[in-house]
Amino acid sequence: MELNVSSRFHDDHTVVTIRGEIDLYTAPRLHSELAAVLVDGMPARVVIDMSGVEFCDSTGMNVLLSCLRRVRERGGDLEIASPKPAVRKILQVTGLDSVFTLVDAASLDQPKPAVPQ
Amino acid sequence: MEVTEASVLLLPFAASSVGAARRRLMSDLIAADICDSAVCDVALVISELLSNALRHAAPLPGSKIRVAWRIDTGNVQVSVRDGGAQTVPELGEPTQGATGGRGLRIVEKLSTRWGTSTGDEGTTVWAEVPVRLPKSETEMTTVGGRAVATESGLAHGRLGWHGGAVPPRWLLQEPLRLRSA
Repeated sequence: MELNVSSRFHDDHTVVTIRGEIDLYTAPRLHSELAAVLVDGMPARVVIDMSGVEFCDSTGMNVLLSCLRRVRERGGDLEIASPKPAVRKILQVTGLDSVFTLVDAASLDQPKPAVPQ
Repeated sequence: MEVTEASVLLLPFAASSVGAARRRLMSDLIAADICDSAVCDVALVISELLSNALRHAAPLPGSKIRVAWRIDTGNVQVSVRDGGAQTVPELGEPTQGATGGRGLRIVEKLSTRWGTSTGDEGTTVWAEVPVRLPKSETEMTTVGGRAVATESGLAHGRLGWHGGAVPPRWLLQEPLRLRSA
């Protein structure tokens, strides 16, 4: 399995699940799959479930960064859920762990808790 | 850990070769009992070197790219040779949100030393990544990556290298074993 992308849509957020390996070969496909998901009118919050990603290099990070930029332009946020150690490592080495919001996959299908007024 | 022979792959000059080379290398590292985190580091380094070459350089004759690695005591040496480019590989200075410019920065951070060499056969970019066995009693000291100045105009056949007094000897030798893709 090289790359598999699936999405599920909730009222207030979208979850994109990526499985496999993200590199120079698979990144263009990831880019077009994400572009198809990030259409107008979708929820501002996008969660990328990376718990099934075995490998990701800087080419993959670039795809996620351009996705992050598009989501933020619309006032939303892009979260990365449950990266495996290999993905955590590149996030850490590149300093991108402070750019992306990292979350736990267990919270993916839960609406964000309301902030007390 | 015993020193293994250098493994050499001649692969098509195509994006699909990044994963092909990475999977072969990872399988060799796992067979050599290299710990998981080091396998991840080496996999990342080989992917970055290959991606860089495929994006910015020309292929070797026959539309190929050459990948080699050697599992040594305490480190894994990897190299990628292409047909050369208009520019020599250099470290990018990406801003925090920039897309691009991170590949060689990653190589620099994960390796003890890395460098480039240019000759009649093409341009080679190499890196040495520290590794240790899971049960090793001697902890490897991870030396931080070292900044590398790029060199151009090297005389044919002469090596340019960085981070050490001498270039790795394995770079100068012909492969001991050729493996097909």
